[in-house]
Amino acid sequence: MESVIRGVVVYAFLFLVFRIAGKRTLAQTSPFELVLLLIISETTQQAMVDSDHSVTNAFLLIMTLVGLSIALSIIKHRSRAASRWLEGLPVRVVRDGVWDKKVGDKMRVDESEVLTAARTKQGLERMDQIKHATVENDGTISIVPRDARSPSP
Amino acid sequence: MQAEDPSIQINENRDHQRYEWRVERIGWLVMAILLAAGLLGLLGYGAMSRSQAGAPGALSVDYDHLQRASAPSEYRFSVAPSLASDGALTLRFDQALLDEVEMQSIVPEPTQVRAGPGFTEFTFAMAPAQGSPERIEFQFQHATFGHVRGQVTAEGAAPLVIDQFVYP
Repeated sequence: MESVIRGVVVYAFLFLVFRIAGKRTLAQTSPFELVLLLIISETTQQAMVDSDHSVTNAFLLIMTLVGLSIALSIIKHRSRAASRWLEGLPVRVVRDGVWDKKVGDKMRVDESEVLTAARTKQGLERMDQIKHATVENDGTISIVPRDARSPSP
Repeated sequence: MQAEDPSIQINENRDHQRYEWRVERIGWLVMAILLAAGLLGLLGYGAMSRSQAGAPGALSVDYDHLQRASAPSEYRFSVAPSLASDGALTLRFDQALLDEVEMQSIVPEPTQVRAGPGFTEFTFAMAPAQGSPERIEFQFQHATFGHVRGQVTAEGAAPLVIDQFVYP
């Protein structure tokens, strides 16, 4: 009983904190962010498991966490409004080749990060070669290159 | 809802996004307030969580009135040697203070522990010293969360009221 409640509370808290932190927080797996994630998981594990190291407790917690994940995916699938709030929506920081500084600032994304994504994912060299750059729900930046059929505005 | 861009099929909604950013900033503010509360000790273990009950010259106790479950906690008693009779001092704890507690150590060790209806008594041998007060420390962990309130009494001294809130 207590394990399940602990699992639900910790899941809800982590979900809330990561949602508030924004899409870009811990979205990249730089060595430092990886270490940070490991520390967070270690801290969480101690609060969740407490002193009960039994297999039954572990099974209960795993089922609680996976069950919550399934429940959330069902809610997101059934309700678009819930999905918007639980998962967020993609946000374009470059639209039709124009860098949107205001959105970039809000999303804590700068032009150099967009250019890095453009270089690594599409082999692009300059901002004017990008048609759309979008911060996706998982925090990654996706790039749609400008092609011959869509001339510069 | 922003006018759809026909060149890209994307589920974008700037109105929702603005609302979400506002909620995000409020969330940051709440986190900052909670962190400040944590630093000040309002979530336990800090300047604002410490408390004292009783008269320092006779019988008094230092404890954290805000504590956390499963975290090390203690009651630090300061006892005037004059309270001892026949070289012994007995502290009587209301059972409410010990019900959901995992006792870890008592320093110095009591010579006798006696259970009664609604209380537990700990008897300590005390040297017939004068001057500086004796210190008795109970180290324990709260097993659960919630409000804990009870009295500790010793013969010849005013009862001490211990009032704690234990966070989960």
